Amino acid sequence: MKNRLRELREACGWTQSELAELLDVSRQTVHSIEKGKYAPSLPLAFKISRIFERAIEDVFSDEDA
Amino acid sequence: MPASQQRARRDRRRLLIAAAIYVPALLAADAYADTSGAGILAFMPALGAGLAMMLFAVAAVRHGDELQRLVHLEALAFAFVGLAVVCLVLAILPTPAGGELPEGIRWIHLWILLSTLWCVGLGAAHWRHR
Repeated sequence: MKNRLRELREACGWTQSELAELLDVSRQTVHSIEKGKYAPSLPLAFKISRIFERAIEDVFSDEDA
Repeated sequence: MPASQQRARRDRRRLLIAAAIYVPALLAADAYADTSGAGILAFMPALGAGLAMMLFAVAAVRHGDELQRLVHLEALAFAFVGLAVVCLVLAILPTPAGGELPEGIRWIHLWILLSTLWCVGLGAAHWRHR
């Protein structure tokens, strides 16, 4: 699954640690999602999209789609 | 630092404290295994710090975020399967009396192996998701 997390985070001027704090997860989790090594659960994906005020499809996309 | 991170860090610290109490207690119980009252001595570590260690280990998993839970699950799976393989090998080794551990190997060695495999699994899972 691809995502635009890094791009959106940098546009907001946040560090990985700041975003992790907003999401109540570890910095390692944010890093792994950004790198595409870890696909977040649906609740976390919705939380991420809410923080950036985007639709979930704007943040995450299926590689096969 | 996120609240979940603070909880996880606190749980890890508690786990280390419990382990620091449990391991010497276990080794002491093992050293006096042949003396009278050895049964009670052997049970003491499991009752006290052993139980605390179990509770803290569970809390550390419960309070982690979803990736940290995955890391713990991978580490536990690695340790569980690793120990199962070793036990299987030991079980099929020809021993003088069936079902006994080969000479030179004691139950405590399996416990040490389990915790070592758990630590190695944790390190590997952290490295994979770094």
